[in-house]
Amino acid sequence: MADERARIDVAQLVAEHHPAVYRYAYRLSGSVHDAEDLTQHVFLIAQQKLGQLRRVESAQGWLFAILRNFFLKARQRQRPVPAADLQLDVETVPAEIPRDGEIDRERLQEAIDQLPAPFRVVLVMFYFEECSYRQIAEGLDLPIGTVMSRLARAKRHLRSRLFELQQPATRKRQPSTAR
Amino acid sequence: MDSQPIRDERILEALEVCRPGSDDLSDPALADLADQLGANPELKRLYDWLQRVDGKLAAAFREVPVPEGLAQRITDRLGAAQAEPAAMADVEETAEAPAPPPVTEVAARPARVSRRRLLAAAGALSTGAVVLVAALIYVSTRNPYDKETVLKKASDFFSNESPERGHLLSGIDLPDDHPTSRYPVSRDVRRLPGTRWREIDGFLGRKGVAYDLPGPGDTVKATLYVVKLTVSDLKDTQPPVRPQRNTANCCTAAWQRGKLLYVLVVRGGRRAYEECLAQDGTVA
Repeated sequence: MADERARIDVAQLVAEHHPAVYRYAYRLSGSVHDAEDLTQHVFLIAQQKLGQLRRVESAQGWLFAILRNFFLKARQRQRPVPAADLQLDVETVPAEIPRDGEIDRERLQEAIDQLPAPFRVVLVMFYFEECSYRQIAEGLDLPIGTVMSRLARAKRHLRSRLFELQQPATRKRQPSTAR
Repeated sequence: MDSQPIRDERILEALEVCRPGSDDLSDPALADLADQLGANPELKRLYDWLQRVDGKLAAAFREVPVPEGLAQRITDRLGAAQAEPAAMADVEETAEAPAPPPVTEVAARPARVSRRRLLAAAGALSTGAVVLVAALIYVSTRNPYDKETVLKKASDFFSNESPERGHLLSGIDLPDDHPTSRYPVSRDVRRLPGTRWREIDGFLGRKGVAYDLPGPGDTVKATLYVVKLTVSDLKDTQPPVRPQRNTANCCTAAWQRGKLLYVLVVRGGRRAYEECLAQDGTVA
């Protein structure tokens, strides 16, 4: 184990993982500049805490975890936006199944940016990292029910923004208690 | 799809957590959903559609172009941080404080006199330490700079440096230990998109941050230097309306906010200088 740790150096981590960390950071921050800043911070912290990385195979997950924590920590310093204040289209289900279409990249990021940070992180873990809801709950130290609720609301919001032209008819459901 | 909406929020949430192409339905916690999918063709259609859409969204999430030269910029930043271990230590939490000595160790000491002596020695040491710290603070804060020296040295520094391109100033709120938080950009200077920051060393003998304000094309039209330094004849001053020093190429002004000294050096004359000040700033 000790030998393997010694073999891992931060330059190798940068070379192998900086594209994925940057893409993840971009999806979280929604800005090229902030994504680069976040990416640089991730590797600065990684350089400092390299001793915590046990196995080189888990390096990417470890870097993603650093990124998530740093992002959420930075966002906590800003005034949090209550989810209730956001106009999330979470009370609709499609009356017709929309046609499959290409995903508009700009609209995708705009829709992500409209979400509060805790919802955004859950969404990126699901789509980008392909984490299960149990892994998300474990990674963020949240109850499973909270993760399921946040994921469902965030995904519906995303679809309502991306498919609104193809999905003119939506049916209002009875409001549910949101976590 | 049938016009009847699916009303069971629990089932709809369960539907949303199933990753495309996964075996999530075999999760015992999703057994209800698996049963209903077998019995309800409408729900199955919705499930299949969500799987397709989620597959496309997952691919779209990863389609982000990576800026050229990013790896090199990260490596440069890591190298700079290693060269300045104090800055690295600021990146994350500090180590825990050492634990106090066990009480039993003190109680085991037999003689009362020796305890007094110990206390006296500790008192003397504390006094000595206080005197030493005071002397160090005096020496470190005493500086040979007055306003004129600051202006001259700053314009020389500006003319002689050939800095590397800095990092774009972030809009996000960064932690207190970030360089741009420790040496924040002055609110009196116009916030221009494309402003870059970089760490500096040796500006009036101090470390700090320089903010490069973008000019036409890829040029830098002005630099705001921020360092921790108190200059007595600049104490509690505002950014001056007119530059305080003009040379053939640039003009310079300095002001003090608390412990931070701000020096703005602008390429060009007075008009160029005025353009760099925030219009709604409090300008003297």
